[in-house]
Amino acid sequence: MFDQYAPFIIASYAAFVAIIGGLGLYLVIDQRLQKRALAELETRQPKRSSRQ
Amino acid sequence: MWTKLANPGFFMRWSGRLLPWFAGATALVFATGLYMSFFMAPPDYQQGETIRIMYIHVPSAWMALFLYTMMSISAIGTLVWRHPLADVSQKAAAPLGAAFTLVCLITGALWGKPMWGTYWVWDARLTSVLVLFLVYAGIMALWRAIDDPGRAARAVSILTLVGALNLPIIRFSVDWWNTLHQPASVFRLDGPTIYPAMLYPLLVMGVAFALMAITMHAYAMRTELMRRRIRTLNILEAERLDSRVAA
Repeated sequence: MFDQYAPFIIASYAAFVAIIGGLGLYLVIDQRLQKRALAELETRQPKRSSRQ
Repeated sequence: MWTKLANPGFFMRWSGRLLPWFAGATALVFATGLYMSFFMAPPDYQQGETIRIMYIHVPSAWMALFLYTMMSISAIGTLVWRHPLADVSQKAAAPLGAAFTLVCLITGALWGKPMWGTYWVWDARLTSVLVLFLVYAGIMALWRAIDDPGRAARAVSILTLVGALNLPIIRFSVDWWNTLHQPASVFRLDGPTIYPAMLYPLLVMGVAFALMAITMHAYAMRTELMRRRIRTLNILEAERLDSRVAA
């Protein structure tokens, strides 16, 4: 389809997918970990008394 | 009104509602842009099919500059107003900017080999973009080197503003020096010189990349706000334990 330049075109799009896709995946995993840690910490917080 | 709108609570509430819409719009515009780039845009009369690389190379360069400009504005927000969202925005934008700059460098090298006969040449445009990547890497390293987010934000802001001097150099390098890289063909005072059948797919890809960058940036900002909340809760817990031990 892309004559003799196909390897350069395919490599360019593959690099884009690897870099931006990899970063996207990292962002999703990082947010899940932070969400989990935050939920755990918030359950450990002392409850405020309603009579205060 | 500004401070009421730009506070972490408001941001978390609204970004949570808007992000799915932005992600959907990104996918839709990106798919349209790819279709136009591969099936509607003609091959170039000189560069042939390698012109397909332009549709990711050029928008990546635009995003690298756009994110750095946004970081510079946030740096001013941190230094002048000490706005709580400004340094969160800066920190979230740095890896994104670095990633788009890296895509720009790699796709540029892969386009350069068949057209120029070399992957790399130390010309002004290529070198200044490499400097931009190194500045992004330096900013990310500085964020990690300082524990206190407030101090880190001020140090990073100064580095970001110093690095901003490179932006006009990148923009005008092709005019100021004799470079192998071609001069600007889209954003020109006398209008674009690129053939419309290639310009429209490029602009659609530009919009797709902008939507992608905004979506990923807002998502990363939400994560950073959670990280800061965790830090605050950990400090409170440590203080509580400390006071119990002291009693």
